[in-house]
Parts: sequence; C-alpha cells; structure tokens
Amino acid sequence: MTLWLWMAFALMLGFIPCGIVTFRGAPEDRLVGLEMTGVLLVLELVLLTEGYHRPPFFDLPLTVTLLAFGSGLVFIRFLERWV
Amino acid sequence: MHYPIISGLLLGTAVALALLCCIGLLVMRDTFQRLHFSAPVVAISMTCVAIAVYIEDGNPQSRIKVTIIAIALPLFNAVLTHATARAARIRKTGHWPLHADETIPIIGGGKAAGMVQEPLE
Repeated sequence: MTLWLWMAFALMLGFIPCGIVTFRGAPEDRLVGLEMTGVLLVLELVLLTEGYHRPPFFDLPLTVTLLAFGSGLVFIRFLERWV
Repeated sequence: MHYPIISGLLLGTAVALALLCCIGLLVMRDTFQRLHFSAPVVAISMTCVAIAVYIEDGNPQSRIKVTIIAIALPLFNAVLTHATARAARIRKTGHWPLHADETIPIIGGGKAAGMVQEPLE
C-alpha cells in the first residue's frame, strides 16, 4: 500500500457523513449531500489513479467532474420547479 | 521523482480538510450553511492533490488531466452552489427576488451597500 492508497482509504471515510446527509432530511439538504459526494468522488478517483500508477485512468475523475456538474443542474431544475 | 514527505504533507492536508468539511456538512442544521462546505474541498484539497500529482508523476498525460480537473471543479462547484441556494430559497419562500416584507439581518447592525436593515416601504 502506497501513501496514495492510504490517503484514498482515509478519504473514503468522508462518504459516511455525506451519505447520512444525502439519505435524510429535506430534498434540498439531500441535494447538498449529493453534490459534496460528487466532489469527494473526484478527489477519490484522482488518489486511486495515482496510487495505482494508471495515467490513462485520469479520464474517470475528469468525466465525473463534468457529469456531476450536469446532473447537479438537472436535480436543481427539478427541485426548483416540480419536486 | 519522489518526494514522499512533501507529497505526504500535501495529501494529508487535502484529506484532513475534506474529512473536516464532511463532518461540517453533517453537523450544520441549515441548507444554506451546508452549502459552504464544498468550497474548501474543491479549492484547497483539490489544489493540494494536483500539486502532489505534479511532484510524484512526471507523465504529461497525468499532469494535463489533473490540471483540467483542478480548474474545472471549483468553477463548476461555484455555479452548482449558487444554483442550489437559489432553488432552496425558491422552495422555502416561493420566490427568488427580495420581497418588501423581508429584512436581511446584518451582523453588527451596520448597513451594507445595497442591503437594507428595515423593511422596504
């Protein structure tokens, strides 16, 4: 286990509070938890990619960065109007 | 090119800050307070991780992609945070613009430019 993988493991603990916020409370609070989870996921994937020395896999966090933004906007749109 | 101490410090800072922000997200009671906690993660943690990747990995592909991520993430997060706050306000009050009967509490009691303490006549 390298330094990067230990840090990736430690960062995984951050998903627990994000999950609690995402699965509880009002819809807008859940959305905030979901957005924070997206941010953590990007960091996690960068740490894992570097930890396993797979440069081509950097496409994963890059894709999650773009998709988390798009999906967040869709959720916000629904939250604002229809939910 | 390996500098474990520098990388360790950078990654430790990034992960510790991210975990603290997650706890802050959980502890806060209000949606608008919770929204603040993703900013340090995308700004400081992501930058620390990107610098660590630069230090540890000489591969240009890794560097370019982690740079794009470190730039795009804060930009996207700012837009998402504002849009989420707007949606949350609209859900709670039914409208986005300020209404006459609404007052904005100003810390310290002063009157900031463009913000009012008393209700609008």
